[in-house]
Order: sequence, then structure tokens, then C-alpha cells
Amino acid sequence: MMSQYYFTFRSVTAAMQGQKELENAGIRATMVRTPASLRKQGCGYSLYVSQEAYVASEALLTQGQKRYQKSYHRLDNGQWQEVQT
Amino acid sequence: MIYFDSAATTLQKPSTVFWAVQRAMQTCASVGRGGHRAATAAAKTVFDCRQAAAELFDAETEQVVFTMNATHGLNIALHSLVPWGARVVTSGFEHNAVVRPLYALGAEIITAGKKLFDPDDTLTAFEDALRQRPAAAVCTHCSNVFGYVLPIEGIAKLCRQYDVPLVIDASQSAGLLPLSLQESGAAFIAMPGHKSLYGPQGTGILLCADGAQPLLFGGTGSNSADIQMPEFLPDRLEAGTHNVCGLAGLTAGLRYVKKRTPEAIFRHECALRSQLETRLRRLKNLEIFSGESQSGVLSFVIRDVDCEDFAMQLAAREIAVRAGLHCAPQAHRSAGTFDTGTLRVSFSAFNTQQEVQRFAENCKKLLLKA
Repeated sequence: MMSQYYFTFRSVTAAMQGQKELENAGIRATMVRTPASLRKQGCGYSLYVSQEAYVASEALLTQGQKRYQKSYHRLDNGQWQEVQT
Repeated sequence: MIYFDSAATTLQKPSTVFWAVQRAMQTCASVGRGGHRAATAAAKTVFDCRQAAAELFDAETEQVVFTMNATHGLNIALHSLVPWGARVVTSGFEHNAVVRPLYALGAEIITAGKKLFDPDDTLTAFEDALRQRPAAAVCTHCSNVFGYVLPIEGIAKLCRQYDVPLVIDASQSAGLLPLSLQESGAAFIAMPGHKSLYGPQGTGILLCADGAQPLLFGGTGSNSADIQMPEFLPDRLEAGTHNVCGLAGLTAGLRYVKKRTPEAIFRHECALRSQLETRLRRLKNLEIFSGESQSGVLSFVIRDVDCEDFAMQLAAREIAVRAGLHCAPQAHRSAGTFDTGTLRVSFSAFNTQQEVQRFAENCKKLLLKA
């Protein structure tokens, strides 16, 4: 399985805004429902990007102010690991 | 039909609006309620609308909140800012969408500026009223009855100076006059989607700076485990399923306005109003309300003729205008037309000089019969 990195967002609007910013920079980001095991407050949306795009994505999404809530790395065994920045 | 009632609702819409509504109805489910294609299509549709509005009104995307109409947005704004019985400043030309919520909140209303087409008087009156430390100021950008464009930049500046939160009712100006949430420093700007933004009925926008309190409570598709409404916008103010089809149409309307430009549409409407005024002034027994700082709205009174009767006679000739008090009794009291009401003609981007000519000819014929 290809390594995936997830950014969780507080709302669908915030996720779509993040997706647009990444796409404007040429980074492919797919919006999905936040996996149940990652959400502490109930429903939410996430963007996932490839491992190669993670660093650039993280930089873009924290420009000015941090727009995502947390980021996670999905390990090969399917487990999630929070990325500490 | 000659449709001259666009200050109520624009009837003629760009064809892209119809197509967008139809497409959304066929493809979109609910925003924030799933990750499947139909839910994602709905989320994208609504996000596109939010972004188009944010661009046009110089706001952040998350500051754009969708409402049912301007009245809904004004109710949110006033319930957020006005504690029970508080003092509030309004202009002398407010719609019931402002006056009735304030009355329901037991507000002590200071009416600032009752002179038509006199921006200097309006500004002086606002400054006097703001010195009385009101909880908020609420002001229409443009009178729906008389088309008087109030000096909103000056009023916003005074509100910043006196540190009073400002609510702008942009029902008659959104899509026609420059409007910036950031520059104005307003706490809220409310507007309908179905007038000069050319969207469908049932759509509205509330631009929110901060401090917004929800009027409706319910599901938002976010923070679902929390029993309280989310603290963040737009979710805080958008409980329940969105009017996705309406917002799809509103996006098309916003794009139409952006392409044609608000300035050009405003000029077009003002030119028609000026043409109409010139023709109506040739007729006898008419009192016409016009002056500097006026939009494409024209009100007039025909001496000894009931305005509702006259509007009915025009309607029989397939001409649509609005008569009466226009849900703005305060404006009529200010202008001295409360007892008679007025006949109001209002234009859109789709009206023509030929229609104005035909309207004036019909008025002349009806007056000769009267």
C-alpha cells in the first residue's frame, strides 16, 4: 500500500479550502471523511496526500495560520501515527 | 411581461442559473453528510458559492454564511449583537427585516437621518446618535423604497471611530455597489441571493466578522460528538441541510454579476431610472422622489389615485411594479408617504429602454382615463 498522510480539518469548508490551496500549488489532495479512529469530536473531513507531497503540503497549510487540526501517517499495517511537527 | 419589480426579486435570471439548479438537483446530496460522490458534489457546489461570494465581497471563505434570505441573516446579526432592551441606531429608511427583530428584542431604537437623498444629514445624524453609546448600529445601504444610497462608508468609519458594531443591510446594493467586509469593518453584512445577485429565492448570504451566535441549532456534519454548536464559522450558523440547488444557482448568478460587473449593471439601471423620470415628469399630478445618491429605484405618488389601484391596472396590462409600503413603513414615515404609499419601479440588468418607453406610455394612457 502506498504511504498516505492525512490532514484532519474542523469542517468540510476548511478541508475544501485546504484542498484548493494545495491544488493551486500543484499538489494532488483527496478529500475524504475523517476515519472514525482519528476523530475525537465526531464527523469531520480530511485531505490525504502522498508521502512525497507531505512536507510541502504541511508548509502550505500552516502559512500565516495553521488551517488543519492534526496530521497522521497511515502505516503499512493500517495503523495511524500522529505526525509531530 | 414588463417586469419592473426587481427590488423585490429579479424575475429574469441568466440561463446559467436555471442549468446550475437543474444540474445540482440531479447530482447533489447533502453537504458534510458523507464521502460519496453525491455528497462530495454537494460540498463542492456549496464551496464554490462560498468562494465566489468571498471574492465579490472581500471576505474570507469561512466568513460567508448561507441563509434563507437577508431577513434570516439580519435576525442572526441582531440576535448576536443586541441584548434585550439595548439601544440601537438605525437609519430612517429601514425595512421591517430590521425594525421587527429590533422591536422583538425590546430595543430602544434611535432613528438617525430622515432626509431623503441627503448623505450629509444622514452622517451628522448618525454621529449624534453614536455618541449615545448604542449596542449596535444597523443601516441599509440603499432604501428599497426610494433608492436612496446611504453614505455607508462614512457611517462605517463613524462606527469604527465610536467602537460600535455595524450591521449593513445590503439587500438593495449587493451586486450593484462596492461592498467589502474587510474595508467596512462591519460586524455583519446581510444580503439576499434572489435580487441583484440573480440567484433563486430561498438563498441569502450573511458575511460575519466575529461574535456570531446561532439562531438555529442542529446538525452541521462537524463536531458531531459535541452537544453544542461548533464555535467556528460557517458551521456555527448553518444547522441543517443546505439549499444546495439554490446555492448552485446563486453561484451562477454571482459569476454573471462578476462578469458583467456590478458597476456596469448599476450604471444600466440608473440610466433606465433617469430615462423613466424624464418621461414621467411630463405627466401631471405626479410627485416623483429623486435626488443625488440614488440607485435604479424610483418611487412616485399620483395625486388622488390609489397606488394599489394603479398597480393593479398596470398588472392587467402585464406590467409588474410594487405599490404600498414595501415592508418599510419607517422609510415612508421619513419621506412623508406613509398614508399614501408609493408606486415603485425597480430595474434589473435585463430591462431595456424600450420597456421604459412602453411603461411611460401606459402610465400616460391610464392617467388620461383616471
